[in-house]
Amino acid sequence: MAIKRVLFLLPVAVALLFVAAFLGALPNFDKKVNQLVLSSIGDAEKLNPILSVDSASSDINGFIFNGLVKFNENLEMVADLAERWTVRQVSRIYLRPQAALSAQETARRLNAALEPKTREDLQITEIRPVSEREVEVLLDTAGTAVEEFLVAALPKEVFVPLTRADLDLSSEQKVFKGPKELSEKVRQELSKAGLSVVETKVKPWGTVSLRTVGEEETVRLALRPILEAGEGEGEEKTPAVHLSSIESFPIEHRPVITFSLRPNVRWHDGEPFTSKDVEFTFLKVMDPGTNTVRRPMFELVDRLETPDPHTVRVTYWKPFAPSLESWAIGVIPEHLFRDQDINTSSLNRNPVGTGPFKFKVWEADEVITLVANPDYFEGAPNLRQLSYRIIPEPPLKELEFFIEGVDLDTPQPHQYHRYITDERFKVYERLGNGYTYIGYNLRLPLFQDVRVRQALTHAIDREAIVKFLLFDLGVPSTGPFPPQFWYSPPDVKPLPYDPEKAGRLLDEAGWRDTDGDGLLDKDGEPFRFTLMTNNGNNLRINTAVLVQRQLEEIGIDVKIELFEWSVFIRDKVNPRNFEAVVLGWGLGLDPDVYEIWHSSQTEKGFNFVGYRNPEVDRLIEAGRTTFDREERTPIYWKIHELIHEDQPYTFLYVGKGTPALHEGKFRLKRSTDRQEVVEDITMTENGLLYFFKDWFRVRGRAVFTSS
Amino acid sequence: MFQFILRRLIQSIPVLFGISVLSFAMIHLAPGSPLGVLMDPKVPPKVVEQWERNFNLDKSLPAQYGLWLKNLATGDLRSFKDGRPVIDKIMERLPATLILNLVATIIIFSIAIPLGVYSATHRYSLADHTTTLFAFVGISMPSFWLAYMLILLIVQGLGLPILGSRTFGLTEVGAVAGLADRLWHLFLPSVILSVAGIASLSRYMRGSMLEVTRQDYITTALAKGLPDDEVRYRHGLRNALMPIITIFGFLIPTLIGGSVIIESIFAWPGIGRLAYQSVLSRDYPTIMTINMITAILVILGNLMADVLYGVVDPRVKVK
Repeated sequence: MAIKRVLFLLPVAVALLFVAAFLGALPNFDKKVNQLVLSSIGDAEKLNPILSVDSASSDINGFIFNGLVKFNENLEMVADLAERWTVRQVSRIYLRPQAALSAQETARRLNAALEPKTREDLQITEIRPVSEREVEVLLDTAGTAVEEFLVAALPKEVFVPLTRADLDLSSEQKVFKGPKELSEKVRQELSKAGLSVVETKVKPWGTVSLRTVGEEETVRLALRPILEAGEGEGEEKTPAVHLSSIESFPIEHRPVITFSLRPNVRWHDGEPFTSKDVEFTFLKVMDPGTNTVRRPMFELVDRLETPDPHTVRVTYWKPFAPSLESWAIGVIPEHLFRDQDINTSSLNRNPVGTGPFKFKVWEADEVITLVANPDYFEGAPNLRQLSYRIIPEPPLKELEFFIEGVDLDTPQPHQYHRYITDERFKVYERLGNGYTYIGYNLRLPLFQDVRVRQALTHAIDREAIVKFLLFDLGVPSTGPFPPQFWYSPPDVKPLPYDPEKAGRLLDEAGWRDTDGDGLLDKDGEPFRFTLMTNNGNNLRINTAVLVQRQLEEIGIDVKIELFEWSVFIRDKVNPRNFEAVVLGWGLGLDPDVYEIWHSSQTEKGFNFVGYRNPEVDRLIEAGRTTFDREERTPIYWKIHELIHEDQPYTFLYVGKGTPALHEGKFRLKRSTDRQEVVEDITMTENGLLYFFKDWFRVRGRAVFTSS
Repeated sequence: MFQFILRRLIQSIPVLFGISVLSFAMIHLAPGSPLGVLMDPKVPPKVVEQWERNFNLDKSLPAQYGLWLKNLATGDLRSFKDGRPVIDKIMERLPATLILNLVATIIIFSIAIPLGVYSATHRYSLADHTTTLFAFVGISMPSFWLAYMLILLIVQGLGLPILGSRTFGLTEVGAVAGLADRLWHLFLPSVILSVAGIASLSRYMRGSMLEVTRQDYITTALAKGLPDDEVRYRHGLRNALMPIITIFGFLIPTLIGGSVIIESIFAWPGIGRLAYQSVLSRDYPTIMTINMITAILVILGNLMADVLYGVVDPRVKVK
């Protein structure tokens, strides 16, 4: 019976097909090229350093693109696409229109008045006229001595004060259609009054900033028609224009960073890299139509100039320490992006960069393959290929690592033991740049007393959290800076776990168990709050549970609520609709923490707990406008100490990252003058992969072992 | 027949419209936002607001729905996540999902039908009881658990690569070996994907076969003295297969829709994972498109089953 035979032979045939496939594939499982296989649980989104927001994209962009500067293995700023850079100050002197001295004459007089000795003391590099009514003084560092010299050298009558007009459009769209039109209108009004606009800056958030030469009162008079138009319209009587004198002193200082770019750098498609690419990258970041999160880093840029193909000069509105760090952003090629919509360009899937690896192919949700760039400006990498696999399930990433389908894996704390006890693996460790904390909503009366917050921290056994949840892969943290950095003070000790002291502090603050129900109470209200965190992060959830139990012991009732991440941020944290949260911060390398701790950030910013300390505000402002590390160090130490005393958060822990490799599978090979040096791979302060370009795969090693 | 198909297709247009309105409303009214996920101190809220304007998320829901329809009509639906046309994202994942589900379907049908038939023809035998037991185990066993256990066995026990659609770094081995490698990687996910299918389909098959065996024409055929196998397989099996057509109709959407769990576990680059990630990141255009494609396939699958009925069963006729 044919039907019967076919019917029952079919399963046998299918089975045989798979057996054949297995036998056909088996002998080839260990044929692999000289490559490194990395992995991630999520696919990359945009291989464009301006647009990327996810970590997979950032990882890969790091291999393909370069910034002007980068952090080296010791986390010091070094040159990358820029050969070198200088940070200078510019002082600009504006001359009165009716002043008898021309700009040339002023510059000549100042140069003449400058004795070589003074020039050296004041670190003045150059004094030059830049227009008919403007003189620029280039100096290494700003100081009042320079101003004193300038004022003494020239009669006061030549200087003119500056006024800044901020035209706030966000509330005034009905009066003026756009920033350009408004600034044009202002320009006209000012020139009618005989005043000249020094510069116009259209900022992305609907404001236009103009600087004009003249006393505030004169400017106000000239702009009266516009001011009145703005005030008259509609319900909201917001003036369209805010006027302010910039400084009582007529000279203003601005930092200028000059980058000298490496010559002979070429894009992966062979085109030369020039300063135009840097300018294009900057303009694209600043374009409001670009969906980027990098814009705020560049908002203080006044202008960017490219005097020649290998020089980029960036002038800032005011000193801003993290500004140099922002130039680590990957530069994108102007010649390819020029006529494209950057948000939807196909180049975001086929990136062309300047880095050690070239993009080869992207198989969605599966693997991204890069190949070595033989023309890399620091020499070709040793590895031929780099694959970035997407494996969504962490436990299976571990299995893939075990059979060498992935060459580098970073186990979670609960997986760590299996890696460290297996002699086939080499596990590295490094403290992460971030911390986990409990943030208290300081707007609530419950958390306003500092003694209460200190008591909460005393009552939470952070050693236990590190021990039982992180399996000792971390350290308790004490404040806003992780302990391994220069800006973290060495001598701040974490508040010890001391439930008795917590009880005493709460008692002092008026919290006692008066009704004998085991809960502390005050004015008839029991001590009770809700601790929220995001679902899906087991470490945070377990932390919350442990905290709940520890606080129960001192008579505080904690309820835990879990939310999906976007709901949590959108509906709880952003509208400040929470009592306490377990969250973590990942930080940049610059210690500026303005967004997290400055009191101006409590309404809409990331200071969602509502922390306000005028002293901390002042220090944060001082810290971000100081470039010198020596000067910054005590500032940040003090910030850390003050926040530690105030305990707006209970700082829980700084976790360790523990990347693992197969023992002896990869080594480093560096070619110095005449010899090749082969070394073992070691952890650097900038991570395991910092010297990645020099890695090579040790040959002659069985790739798959079936033991 | 042609008229029938045409009428059904026209009827489905308002259905699709209704589905699009409903799923659009559901997706947008669900809490969360595509941009609420940025929690980076270097990204102030104004950046998020700017993005919302760029994505038209600041407009009212009906206006957003209108924009969606417009983009659909002009073929310019783009993912929020990477700015790529949604259809490209789906198309590049389609082959992986299609091949996996096709192989799983082949396994299901080639195993479940003989198994069901055998159970029915050997009713209450040891083999029947055993397959019944396995069918229940197969239906109730969570597939992710089975997947993990088998992966542990193969990867840790035998040290063989199994995740993904092929062995990584495997190059220059020739077309035949490459094909064998891909087939090997298909093995486990397709087998696990088919376990529940085999279990349930073999039960259907058994029931259907038993039903047919009780019919008068079978008794007649047997009484006429036809050989047992002739009766069972020529006359019985054909009729017993008819209910299976309904199941085949349901199968079409799952062929394309993919499976979130199996695709995630096996790092299989298919549509199920895309749909899941899109939901997590509130990538509205992508979710909507996948929803609509699934809806269309369900409608087409039903239509196909109805048409096939007409073809195989002369009693069913279009009026």
